[in-house]
Amino acid sequence: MKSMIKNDFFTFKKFLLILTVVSVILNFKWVIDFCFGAELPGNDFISDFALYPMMYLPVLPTLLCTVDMRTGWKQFGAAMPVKRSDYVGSKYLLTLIAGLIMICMITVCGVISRLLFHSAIDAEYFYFIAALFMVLNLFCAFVTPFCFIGRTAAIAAYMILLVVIGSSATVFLDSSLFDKQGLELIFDIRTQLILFVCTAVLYALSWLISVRIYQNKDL
Amino acid sequence: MTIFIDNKSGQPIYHQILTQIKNHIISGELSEDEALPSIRNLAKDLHISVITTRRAYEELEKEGFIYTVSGKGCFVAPKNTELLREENMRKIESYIEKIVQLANVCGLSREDIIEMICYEMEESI
Amino acid sequence: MNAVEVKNLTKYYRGFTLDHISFSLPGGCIMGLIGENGAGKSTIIKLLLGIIRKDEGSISLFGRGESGRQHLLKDEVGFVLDELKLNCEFRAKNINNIMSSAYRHWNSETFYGLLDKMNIPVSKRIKAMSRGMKMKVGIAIAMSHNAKLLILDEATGGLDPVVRDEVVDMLYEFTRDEEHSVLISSHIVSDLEKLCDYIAFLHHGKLVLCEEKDRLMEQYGMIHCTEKQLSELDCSAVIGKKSNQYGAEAIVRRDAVPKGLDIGPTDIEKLFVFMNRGNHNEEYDKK
Repeated sequence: MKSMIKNDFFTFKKFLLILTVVSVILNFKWVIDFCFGAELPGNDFISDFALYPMMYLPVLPTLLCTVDMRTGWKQFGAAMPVKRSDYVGSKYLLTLIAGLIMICMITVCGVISRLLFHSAIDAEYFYFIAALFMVLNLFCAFVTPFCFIGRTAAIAAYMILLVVIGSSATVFLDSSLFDKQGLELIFDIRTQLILFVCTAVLYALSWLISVRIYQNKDL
Repeated sequence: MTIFIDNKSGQPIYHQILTQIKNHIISGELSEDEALPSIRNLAKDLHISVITTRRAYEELEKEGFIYTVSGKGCFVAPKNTELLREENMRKIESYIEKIVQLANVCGLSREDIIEMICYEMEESI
Repeated sequence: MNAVEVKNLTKYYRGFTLDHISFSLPGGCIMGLIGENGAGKSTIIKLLLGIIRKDEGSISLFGRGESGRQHLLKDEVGFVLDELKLNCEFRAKNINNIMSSAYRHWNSETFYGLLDKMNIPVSKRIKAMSRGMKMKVGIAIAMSHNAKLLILDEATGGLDPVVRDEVVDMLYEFTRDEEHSVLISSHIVSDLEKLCDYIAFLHHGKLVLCEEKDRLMEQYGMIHCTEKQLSELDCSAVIGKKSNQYGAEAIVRRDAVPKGLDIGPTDIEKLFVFMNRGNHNEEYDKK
């Protein structure tokens, strides 16, 4: 798998760099707003703009596969003494790592922001970040198998995902679920654990499905 | 040892090698028990197939011009006058075939050819 | 031990079928796969390398049949595809880095040595390289991990004669070792003419023949005669023919024509072209 990771790392590096820069800028958008006379964000600040770049994370496996298709690496890699499951595994591993890096960065930026205008950094924030990370991985688990079917399938899956998230977010925000009581569910360690186990299982399942799809594909 | 391969001639390549090595042995250019290049190296140096050189060496061994020591390679067999005589006779026969063909084309008779041969043999003495 | 053994290999595509191909490449030999465009040469090679999956038949590399660990056999297989299919931003050191993790016996010194021998600058990115350079890099990669079998797919097409000659020289060097075998496909027959020990002809997905090259040269010859003389010959003796108002030429089986007929030598290229014409004429007549 090492050789596959090394190959993907090239594109991975560029992708992560762009996403990082965008994230950091958007995370500190409040600085710009403040300069224009807006108030400092309050106690429950979670820079929602920092979340937007995270939505691009499920694009990474598609991007990696597209680059492979364009350069012909798919064929070259298949002729090398590397298992097809390693090719798949590399995409999953790098997506996970990218997600971790992004989450860490957003956490750090969020902590800095909070320190700047509000001294309390409570556990709620970290619970929320953790839940976010796991939901993000669920999104990736959904989209990634489609990358191994084809580029069109992957893009279609990603579009569906955006639509689903968009519409459910709207529903959520409007309804009474999105109130303090609803959110408090996340701040329970049990919920976190259940979410973690579900995510891990679904992520692994997604990997298995992808390997199945890719194993006997003609490249 | 020089070997030239002529791709354009009708002669099979293995036969060209066979003949040329034979001539080198007969002329003494290749001495007794001298090592010949390996089948593979000869093929690669001449840019031809290994199967061709293998066949040439096999024929040479069959005709008694070389011998193989397993693990070491092929070597020039000791000069065998009987063999040489046979070889030269074979050459003469093939020349005679050509002479007869040409004679038929020109319309020369058997007596004419024999006269020509006798004249040539007298001249060379 | 056969380096490659293929039995009844079949692949179905819409509009094309690789039809039950069987052949063996003995160890230490070079086999040329010749066929017109679309004959199935690349398909066979992709099947051997595991890029596409077979529908029927069996493939055996180095005498070891199919198993779960098939990918490990590819450690000893060097390949050159028709293009260098790597990220175009890569330089030699990136390639070296990746390959050293993939191949057990990857030798960086050999790789850089080959690049140096072929005058390829180490700092150049693939996207800045000419086709000839890319091909040479591909060959350097294939020959830097102690491969016992080299598979080349249309590797010399689009290269100038000087580079082609260099490539052929490298292949000769590679096969000095009797454990090294080469399978090379091309439609530029002159490349394969001198190099190969065995020739396999492919036509419309079928293996027309697979023979020792020298035997082919002995079995077949070229005749020049009139149309009338040609028509008098046994049908099965004539492999293919070309005729115009000045006469006809045909490739014939030497043993199937009457003695005394002046049969000249032929080469693989003519044999291939005439065989194709012969087959084409047959199919045309059938319609």
